[in-house]
Amino acid sequence: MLKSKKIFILSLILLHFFLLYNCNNQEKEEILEVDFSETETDVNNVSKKVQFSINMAVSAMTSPKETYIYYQQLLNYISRKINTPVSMKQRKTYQEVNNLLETGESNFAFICSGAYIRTKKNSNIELLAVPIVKNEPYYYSYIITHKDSSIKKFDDFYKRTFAFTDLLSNTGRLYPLYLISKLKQNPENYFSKIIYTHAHDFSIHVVARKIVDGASVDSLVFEYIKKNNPDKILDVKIIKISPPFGIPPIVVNRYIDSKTKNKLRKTLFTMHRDEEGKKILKNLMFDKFIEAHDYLYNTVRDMDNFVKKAELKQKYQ
Amino acid sequence: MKDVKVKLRTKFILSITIVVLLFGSINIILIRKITLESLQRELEKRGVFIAQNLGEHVIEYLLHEDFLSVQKLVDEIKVLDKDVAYTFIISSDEKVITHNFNQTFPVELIKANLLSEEKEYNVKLIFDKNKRFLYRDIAVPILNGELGMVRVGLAEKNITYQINKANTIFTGMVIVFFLAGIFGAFVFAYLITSPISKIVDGFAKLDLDKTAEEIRIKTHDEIEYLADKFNEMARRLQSTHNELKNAQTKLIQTEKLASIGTLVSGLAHEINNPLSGLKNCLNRIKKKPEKKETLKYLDLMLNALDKIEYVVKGLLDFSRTKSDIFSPVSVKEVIEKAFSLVGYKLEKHSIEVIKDIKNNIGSLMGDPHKLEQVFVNLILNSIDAMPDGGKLIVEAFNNNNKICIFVEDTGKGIPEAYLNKIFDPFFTTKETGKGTGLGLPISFNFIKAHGGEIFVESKQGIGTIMKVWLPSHSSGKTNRREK
Ligand SMILES: Nc1ncnc2c1ncn2[C@@H]1O[C@H](COP(=O)(O)OP(=O)(O)OP(=O)(O)O)[C@@H](O)[C@H]1O
Ligand SMILES: [Mg+2]
Repeated sequence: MLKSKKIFILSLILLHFFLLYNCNNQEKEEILEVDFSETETDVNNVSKKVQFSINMAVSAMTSPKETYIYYQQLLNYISRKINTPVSMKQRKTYQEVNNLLETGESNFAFICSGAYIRTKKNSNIELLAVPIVKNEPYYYSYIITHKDSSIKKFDDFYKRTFAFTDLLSNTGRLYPLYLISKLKQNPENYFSKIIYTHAHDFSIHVVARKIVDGASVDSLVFEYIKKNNPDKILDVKIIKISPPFGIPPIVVNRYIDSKTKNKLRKTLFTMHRDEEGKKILKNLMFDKFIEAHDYLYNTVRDMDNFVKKAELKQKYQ
Repeated sequence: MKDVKVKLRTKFILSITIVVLLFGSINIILIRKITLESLQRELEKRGVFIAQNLGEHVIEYLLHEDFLSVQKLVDEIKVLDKDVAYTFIISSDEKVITHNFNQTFPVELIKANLLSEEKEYNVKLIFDKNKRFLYRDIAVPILNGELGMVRVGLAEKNITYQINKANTIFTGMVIVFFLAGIFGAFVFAYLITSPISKIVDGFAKLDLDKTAEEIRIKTHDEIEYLADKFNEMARRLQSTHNELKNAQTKLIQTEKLASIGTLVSGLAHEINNPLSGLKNCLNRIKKKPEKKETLKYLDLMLNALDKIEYVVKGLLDFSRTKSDIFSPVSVKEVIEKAFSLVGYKLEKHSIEVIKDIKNNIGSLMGDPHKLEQVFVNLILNSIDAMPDGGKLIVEAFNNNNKICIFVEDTGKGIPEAYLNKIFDPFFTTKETGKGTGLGLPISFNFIKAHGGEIFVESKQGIGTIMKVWLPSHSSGKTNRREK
């Protein structure tokens, strides 16, 4: 009786110490000592980046992050094939990208068809390649609205809200402007409100969220999203598809040396023949790259001229 | 209550206090640990959230090379959360893009927390050697590390402050907890033990000769039940005790009557015989008084009167046990004298006598004639038990101021049923006229009068030992029984 009592008390105390030991035995976090006095004033040395021989510029077809991911693989592939590091610059607006090309800050770019036709006739910009999608070098503009919306045709957008992508965007602005012009309406006050999203995926998003009644988006981006994130387009419907336009091309400027230019061209044109290239093309939903011709963009140019004339007419009426 | 070594109450208080202390301290330590950890986790979570949020936000600006907006974002963080000590963004090639230190940037910090691949974030404790500040540095990759990483440093001193605050609360809690626990132990112990103490007191006070006090406890539990049982037990004990006492007195009375009965019947028997003899003789003398047989009858009558006188004298000896004057008596002498009185009888029955009387046996205060008579009686009894011879051993020695005298024989022994009767007056197994049954009772009374005792040990067919002990004179006690 007495013995068992003692054993009980003893085990109680042992248990106590065991618990105490466990509690205090928590792993101590490792602490690193750092000398904060060792400082440097001029640390913003990012701007003095290593000069790359090829500097690719992209205008955001989609959001900057998406765009980066979208082009990164292709970029890595190219730089490996031509044995030259390729850097990438993104800009918010197409105009900024055009400026990069003109100043020579970039010498290689994916630009929108709308932006391409805006480059000056005598500019140093030169078509390099164009992707083929579903066996044709064309793409379209999709006019979209919310799936529950009463809007059935483009005319229904009158005095409604609408999202444009970029000032220089073909599918994202020029095409709907052309439609309005054809209606002999003034684009400036056709919609009750216009917002610029600077990315086709964001245009889809704002329509799906009913922030705007409609938007006009790049078919390539729309199909890409449909394939990779079908949820994002569940709430939108396409009410009009444009006639085909030449797909946004890859361009170079004169700041690039012809040797590199040829290497680039060769790499792009043969990409679909090797496994890795094929895979990257497939991800981008391109069949292959082919030689680009300026006439591909004539439809866009015509549309642009039509809109300009209409605007002038409006102005002097 | 003096007999209780450790009081129940002390035990209660001690054990409850120990339990409170043990588990209280475990509790406190556990709670402290948990709070500390959750505070740290919370801070870490917030830091990670801030860093990840910033990391997500700057992607666009970094891709657009809009460093002005990056700087704005980084500066805003410091304003929005006062726990954030510093924020900076480094490119994938470990160049600082923006930071919000005042003017200069500590370069060592860049390599202090590097992200391993595919980790969502990394946390490191960084100690500023000069200012002696501790920072929780969180590194979060920007676009899976392709654009570099965001680093957020949280001042650990703020959480230390919070922990210290929590600590004071805990310490207070501990003290309150312990005090309450110990106070509870006291109250609890009192509540439990005071009724038990009442019961213990009840036991101590229990006196069967007086009417017992009832223990009154109203705790409505086992202890009340125990008290009720105790009261019941006390009542029962008392009634049993009273019954027993009555029975005892009755028994004593019956016993007295019984011994008087024996005495009277014995006396009647002993006196009746010579009386009828006397009557016979007188009748014969009355018929023919002149006959010359008359003289013979007178002799017979004298004999009968002698016998009556002997019985009466014996009775007087038995009743007049209280001795008059005691004087120092040598035990050895007394025994020798007794032997000299019965010597011829011993020889006649050819009994071997072995005497072992120690010299240092000493003397005692007493009446030598009475003691002589005792030993004569014992020896005569032994002789009677050995009519065809045997051994008589007499031992005398001093043990612890007690003089012991053993009279042992190899006679027929005493049946077990008689052992407690042989000291009764007139108890005898001997035929009429041979024994009166007064020898042992008289001897018993004499020994008693000397402050001693006499015992018998006997086995039928083997022999008997009569053990006598008497207080020795040197013991200092003088046995003077007056009256
Ligand atoms: N040593 C002995 N051995 C056997 N029996 C004994 C012995 N001493 C006593 N007794 C028994 O105890 C009885 C009582 O003894 P006690 O001396 O009182 O009476 P008694 O010897 O019978 O008569 P008396 O009065 O003559 O002594 C005896 O009758 C006898 O039976
Ligand atoms: Mg006798």
